[in-house]
Amino acid sequence: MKRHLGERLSALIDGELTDTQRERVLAHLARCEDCRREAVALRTLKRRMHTLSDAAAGDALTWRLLALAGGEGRRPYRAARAGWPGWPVRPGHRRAWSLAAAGVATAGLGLAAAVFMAGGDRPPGPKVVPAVDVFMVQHAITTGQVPARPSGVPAVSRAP
Amino acid sequence: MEFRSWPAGGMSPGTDPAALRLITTAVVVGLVASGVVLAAGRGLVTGGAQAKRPVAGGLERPAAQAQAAGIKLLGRAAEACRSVPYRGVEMAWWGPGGDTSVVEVWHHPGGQALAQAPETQALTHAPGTSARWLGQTQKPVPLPGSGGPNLDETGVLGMSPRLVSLLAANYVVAVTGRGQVAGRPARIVEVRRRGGGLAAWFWLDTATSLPLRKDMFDAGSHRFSTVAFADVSIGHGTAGGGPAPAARPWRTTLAPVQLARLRGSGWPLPGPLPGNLTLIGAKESVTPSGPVVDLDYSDGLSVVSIFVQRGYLPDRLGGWSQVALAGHKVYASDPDQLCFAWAARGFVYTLVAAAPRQTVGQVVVALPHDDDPGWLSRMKHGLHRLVSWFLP
Repeated sequence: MKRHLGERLSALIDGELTDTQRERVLAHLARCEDCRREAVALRTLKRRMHTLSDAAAGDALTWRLLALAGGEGRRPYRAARAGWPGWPVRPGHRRAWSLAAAGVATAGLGLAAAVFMAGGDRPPGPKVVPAVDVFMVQHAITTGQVPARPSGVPAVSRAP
Repeated sequence: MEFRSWPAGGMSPGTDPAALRLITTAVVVGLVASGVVLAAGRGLVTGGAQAKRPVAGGLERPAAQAQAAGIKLLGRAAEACRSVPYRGVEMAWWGPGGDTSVVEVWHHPGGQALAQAPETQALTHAPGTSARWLGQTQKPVPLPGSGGPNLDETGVLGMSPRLVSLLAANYVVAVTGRGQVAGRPARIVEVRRRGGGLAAWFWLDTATSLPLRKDMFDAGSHRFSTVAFADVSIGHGTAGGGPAPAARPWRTTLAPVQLARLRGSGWPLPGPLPGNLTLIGAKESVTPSGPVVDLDYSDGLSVVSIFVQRGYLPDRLGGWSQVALAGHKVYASDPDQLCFAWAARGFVYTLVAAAPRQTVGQVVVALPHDDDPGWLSRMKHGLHRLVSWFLP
């Protein structure tokens, strides 16, 4: 049964063999048609993979594609454009920062409100709603004249 | 313009000796007569230097005589307020754009009853009785925390011996004319400020001296209040059919000793106030939120009532709006703005005034107010307090 190169073939293509090992592999390829076809296929695949890798070098394209895949429209693309050169801004990180900032702001406002409330002095004694009707009547008795219209009592007529 | 020419060759009157003598005599007689009149007017004839001294609180003799006559008439009016029985309908107008109130008034010698016009709520009160509102059914409804005031001291239209004496001290009074109120002939007493501005007119019934009408003017001589009888019947038998007097006392009159005791326990109860306002009465009543001290001040014409009670105002006051008065933020009762309220240093002040707005402003300034500490100071205080809670 004829033995083929197997994993040594991919090692050849990746340049991982020593000189001696490469000579043996190449000698085998010279007389084995199957291994030659497999070597060609592996090289073609590797080349294509390398081509794909070069085409994906642009971050903008990458994030746009990812955004389209994630269904979030163009916002991440804009976010990436707004970011530092060479420092891509990822949507997940942006959202986290926003949430953190909102939380800090809320906590700050709450603390400020608490400080402001604590700074106010509530005087002792009961809460008082002036009994204006009674006071106006008492005043009318003091002055001995018609009481001014107490609140809630309809005026008889309006002055011209 | 008419020009007159003298005949040629004739003498003009200025060169005729007879005419010159006549003119000279007339001038001398005129000078002598003017001197006599001036001397009489300054008192040189009767009193010499003594007559030049101002009399009656800075008034010259004619003004002093007019003052005396006016005060005498007002004194009679104050007495009539207590002794004359009458029944009438009294109307009041308060300020430009203000409302007009109407009440029916019954008065028996020694007391008084007031009732607002039919179809509206009504107030009644009488000496030693409770004040009551009359509802739609005209059945008396007791006022909250009310009792019966004694009106002997004040009388109708703010006339009382005490107020007349204050009026004499603070204003210039003169009887100036005659008029008619509710079909009755009346004498008009004019009240002026010491500076000369018109302050009030009292219309006094010619027959009984009962006050029938009172007009009040502010410092700019603009009328801000008129209280007058629209209809009145005077005499015995006219005051029947009034509301029945109630039984419980309304307020307790505070004696000077009691006032001093309250002041000693921290109550801010001022004495005289700006605008020559003298404390004319102090009373105490009890409300659901605690005792209320009612201080009444007057200069003889204006009356200002200040109600003081312990506590603080709620954050929102229904029926009131916040206004700036004399540089202070206070609440004003809607819609008339006749009542003002604010809180300071643990007390609530409610001010009701029958006085010019300028006087009200002076009073508001003279009473305690809490200074606004500013937000920065409040934040510092709050931070200190919070820290002290966590790190005692």
